[in-house]
Amino acid sequence: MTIKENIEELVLEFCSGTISEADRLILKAWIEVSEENRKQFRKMVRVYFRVTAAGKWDELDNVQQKMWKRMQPALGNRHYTYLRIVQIAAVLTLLFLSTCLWFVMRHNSPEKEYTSQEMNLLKAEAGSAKAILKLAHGEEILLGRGESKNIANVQGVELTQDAAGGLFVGQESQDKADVTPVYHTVIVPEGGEYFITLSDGTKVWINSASELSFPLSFSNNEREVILKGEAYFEVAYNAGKPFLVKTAQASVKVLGTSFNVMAYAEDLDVQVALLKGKVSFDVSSGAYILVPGEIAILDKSTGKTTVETGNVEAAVSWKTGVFDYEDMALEELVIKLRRWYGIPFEFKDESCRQLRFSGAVTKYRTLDYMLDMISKTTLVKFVSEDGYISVHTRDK
Amino acid sequence: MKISEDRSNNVKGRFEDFFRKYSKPMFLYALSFVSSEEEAEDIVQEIFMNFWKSESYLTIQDEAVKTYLFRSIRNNCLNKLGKKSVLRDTIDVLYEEAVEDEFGLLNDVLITEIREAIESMSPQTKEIITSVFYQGQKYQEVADRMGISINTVKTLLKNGMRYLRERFSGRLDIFLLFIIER
Repeated sequence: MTIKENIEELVLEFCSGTISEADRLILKAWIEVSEENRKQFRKMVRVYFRVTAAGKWDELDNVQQKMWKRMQPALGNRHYTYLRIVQIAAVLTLLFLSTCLWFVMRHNSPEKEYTSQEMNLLKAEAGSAKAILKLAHGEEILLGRGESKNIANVQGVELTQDAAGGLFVGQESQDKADVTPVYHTVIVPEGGEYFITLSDGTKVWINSASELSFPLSFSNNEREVILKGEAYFEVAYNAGKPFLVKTAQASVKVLGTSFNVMAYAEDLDVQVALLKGKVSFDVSSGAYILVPGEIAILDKSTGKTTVETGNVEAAVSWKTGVFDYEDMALEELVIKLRRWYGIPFEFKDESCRQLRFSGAVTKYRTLDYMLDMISKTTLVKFVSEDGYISVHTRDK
Repeated sequence: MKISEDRSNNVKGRFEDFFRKYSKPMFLYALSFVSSEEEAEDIVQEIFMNFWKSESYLTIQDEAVKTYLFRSIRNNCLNKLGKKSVLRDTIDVLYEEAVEDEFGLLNDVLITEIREAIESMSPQTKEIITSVFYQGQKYQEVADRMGISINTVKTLLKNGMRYLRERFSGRLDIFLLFIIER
């Protein structure tokens, strides 16, 4: 039996919930190999549910009837003001217009034609596990995934790359602990993401266009790492040795917990979202203690810090392969797209900058797919130019 | 008074249209997370009640309504199951997304098409697919009843699924529109 045939069977088992843990890992590894495999997986899943639905569809009339009846008492008649009626009329008109627009667009351009150069930009593949390990003495090692291998052995500490795209720093040896830590750096480029397990067992997911500097062994009294960009931390608990994440403007001090730090140099603010445990967000003006579910935001221009309850899971969704954003301005969204796809954007109409979006989209789609989705629902248009993508307002 | 009642009936009509159009696929989508049909019914009903109370159906665009409703199913089910999104991995995310895309697309026309496609298969493959998917039978039961080996059942099933995948190929990558302009 070929691998392909076997995968097909695993997907059937996965969908029906009967897959074993071992087979699930095989399937996961297969999915992570390529975008083509992910596409195949999606299709298999969809056909599975499509056929299942065909079998159940007719019985659903009863279910639907039953639910509708049970809802009736709550759906009483209401009276509407004139204003409300105007609002509804406006919505319906918009709906009609956008439907027309959609039909026109669909029929006018069944296949979009791009020049070969435009094709390149728009077909930009989503990012993947890749990074560079820069050792303290200057040597650079390319990290990727696909095979487990020993990367380096520095002063008796083993560095291993695993097949799924992660770097493991070997256990810290006790006698090393009193030496001044030497810092090495993992550099994740645009279009990359990488995972590292530090010598104390702390796990760090590093996002695109970010760098993490860490020692192979931590010093005796604290564990300090330096971050540029964004990373999600699951800190191994050690009451005697606080864990410190330093960024240019702020630092986060913890004992053992899960949190996300976003501190890109070009961003207007630094954000820390706390999922579990307790952290202290230290800025020049003071220290803020966060509880789970809170996000601290330091506005770099004013130096002011605000702490609010927010969607902390959305803040770390990039780690699970999703772009999840709530009420985000288009200018911020394109920065995230640039980091992931490695292609710059330029606004031709300033008015689009502040359009706000909410949504969630998987990261593993090509760029044109993402842009298509945005332009289908809004009046924004993206055009592939020489080396960048321009953002315009579309005529109504 | 008369006029205002007519208007309010129109509003309820818009709500009812959404219910008729989406409640079936939403129910199936919920069923891909929770195990009992009662639970799935409760979830769908709760979401429509909130939808009604929030009056969101008055102001958001049609495509966005679909997104809102399906996203609510997912969030509601994950909450009920106590699953934290950070603990889910690539395979869960891809799976949920594919399932959400699929159910977001389902309607009477598509169901008719898939039934016709299954109808056009060889009698043996057709019987296997309907036994497994429509009647929920195990491979072994199907094999015993048809007097063939379990491996033949598996092979024919896989071939059948592949045939369906190719047949619907162009339309399996249509994606729910997830972006809502504010």
